[in-house]
Amino acid sequence: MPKIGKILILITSQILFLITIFLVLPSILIKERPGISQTSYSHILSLDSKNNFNQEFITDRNNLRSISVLLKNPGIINKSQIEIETQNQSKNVKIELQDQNKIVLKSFETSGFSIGDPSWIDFEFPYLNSQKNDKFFINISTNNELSDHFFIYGNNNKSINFKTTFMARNIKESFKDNLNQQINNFKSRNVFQTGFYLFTIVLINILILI
Amino acid sequence: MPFFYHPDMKSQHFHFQFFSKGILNIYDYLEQNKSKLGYQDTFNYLPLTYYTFGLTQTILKPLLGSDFYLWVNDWGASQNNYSNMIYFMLILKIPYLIFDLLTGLILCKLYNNKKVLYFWFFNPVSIYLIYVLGNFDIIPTFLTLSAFYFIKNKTQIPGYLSIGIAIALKIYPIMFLPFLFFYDRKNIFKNIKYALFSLLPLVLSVLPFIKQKSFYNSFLGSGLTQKILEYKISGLPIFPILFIVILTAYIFSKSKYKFEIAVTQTFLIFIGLVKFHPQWIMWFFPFLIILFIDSKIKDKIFFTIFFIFIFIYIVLFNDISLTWGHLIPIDPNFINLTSPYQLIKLRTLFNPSLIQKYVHSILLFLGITGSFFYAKNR
Repeated sequence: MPKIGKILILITSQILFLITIFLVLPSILIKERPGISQTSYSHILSLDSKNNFNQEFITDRNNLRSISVLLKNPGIINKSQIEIETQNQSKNVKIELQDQNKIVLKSFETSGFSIGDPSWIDFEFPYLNSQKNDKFFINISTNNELSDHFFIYGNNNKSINFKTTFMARNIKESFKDNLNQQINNFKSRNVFQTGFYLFTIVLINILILI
Repeated sequence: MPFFYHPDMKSQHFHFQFFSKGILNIYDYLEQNKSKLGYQDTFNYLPLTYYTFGLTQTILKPLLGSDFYLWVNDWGASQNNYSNMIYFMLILKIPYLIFDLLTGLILCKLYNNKKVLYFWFFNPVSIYLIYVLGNFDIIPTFLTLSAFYFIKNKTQIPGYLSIGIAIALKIYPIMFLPFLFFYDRKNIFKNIKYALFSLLPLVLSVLPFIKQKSFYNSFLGSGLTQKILEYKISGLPIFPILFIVILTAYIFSKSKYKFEIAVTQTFLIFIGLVKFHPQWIMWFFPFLIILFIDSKIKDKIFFTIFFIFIFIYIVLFNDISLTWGHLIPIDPNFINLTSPYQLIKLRTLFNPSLIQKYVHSILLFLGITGSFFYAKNR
């Protein structure tokens, strides 16, 4: 029979390992986490000087850190890639982040060179002191007059694809975010699998002790 | 073991899933359906690997759950957002755990030393290689070790069959074959007929594919042979030359641990001369243990330094999956962290690739000098 001391050492070391790996490490290392996002590939909408897009979103976390939009620069559809890129390089896409009163908070311009077929265009900025449930707008516009140069993914009511990230300002916020993430992960796991998982872990422990 | 992940595990199981769908010729299937598949790389392993792990996956299927197949076929943006990944890792690594235990048992039987057993089970290197990288190299490693055990105990047929299966699973144990063959140099001519058993599993499993272009295209993509021959001086590949020198010294060696010494020397020069993948360390590692345990403190320090440099070399790959990416089952956001490579590149004036090259040069120097002095002192 294994001694009680050995069992205690094994259990304590495993609990410490689990705390480190599930709570300490992610809390220290992961400061930026994804927030509200919208993804649909049902429609490809033309982005040109006459068709700009304004997407509203309500934050689900504090401290907005970045927004991303899915743009398409179709270099291989009907013209050679080089020609399209050359034509598009002087034509810019402007992404603006606006507050609830549509006042521009952050602005970002990119050229056809940075837009893939398609690619997520990330717009990062120093985190805003925003709160959960704040309303923002993403405004996307271009000076490109031709309708077959830039496209944006979305659904038929002109609701476009976007992603957001949020930043934890300190270890306390980071710990809270991480704890929520772990709880959500745990809840979404299959009960049978979790049961089998625990059974296997116990079995391995007994094996080590023997 | 369930908390760590490496993408190789997913890509391998992506291919193994076709076995349960009745696909017996994976090479042709992948070539013909390349455009329809979410993951388009070729299957770079031997047929026996496909059949063995395809069958293993089929047996484990009831335990894996239906979302396993969603995950294994998801190569898009959401590929890391599976909360049951922790569970997949546990189930998929159970066969590795069994072979880890069996390797420990063989080591214990070989050396009759409990220290070897504890060292094998609880050292960070083998834990990293088996459970963090999660590659199946532990299985051919176990078979190679078993082959040595059998041949040491003069049971030739199981010995050569064992290394033969290992070769049919992954070609690298062929490096160990000359050492096994010359282990008992008094009976070399008698051993020739037994040695043929070592090629039997490979020949039998490869025979149906021998005329297929898709098989050659896939298998030659693995790159081990090219990597072994890569380092040259005046057009001559260095690794094979040093390997022959080690083999010659081995044939005439009278040391009690001549096999382990030869494998250790091969390991030391291999690490220095080959742009190795971390999992390849596993091939040699069990044979190093007895030498490490039995060695003097300065040899222990040498090995520790050598492995620290290996660790630095691995960390300096421009590959997040070799650092923070291992922790994706805990939190998928680990994949978005800056890798040490990117950190050095963005925050310092140093070129991380160049630092890695220097580290590899240090490993080469340590490997060659270590190999030379080690042989001399032993």
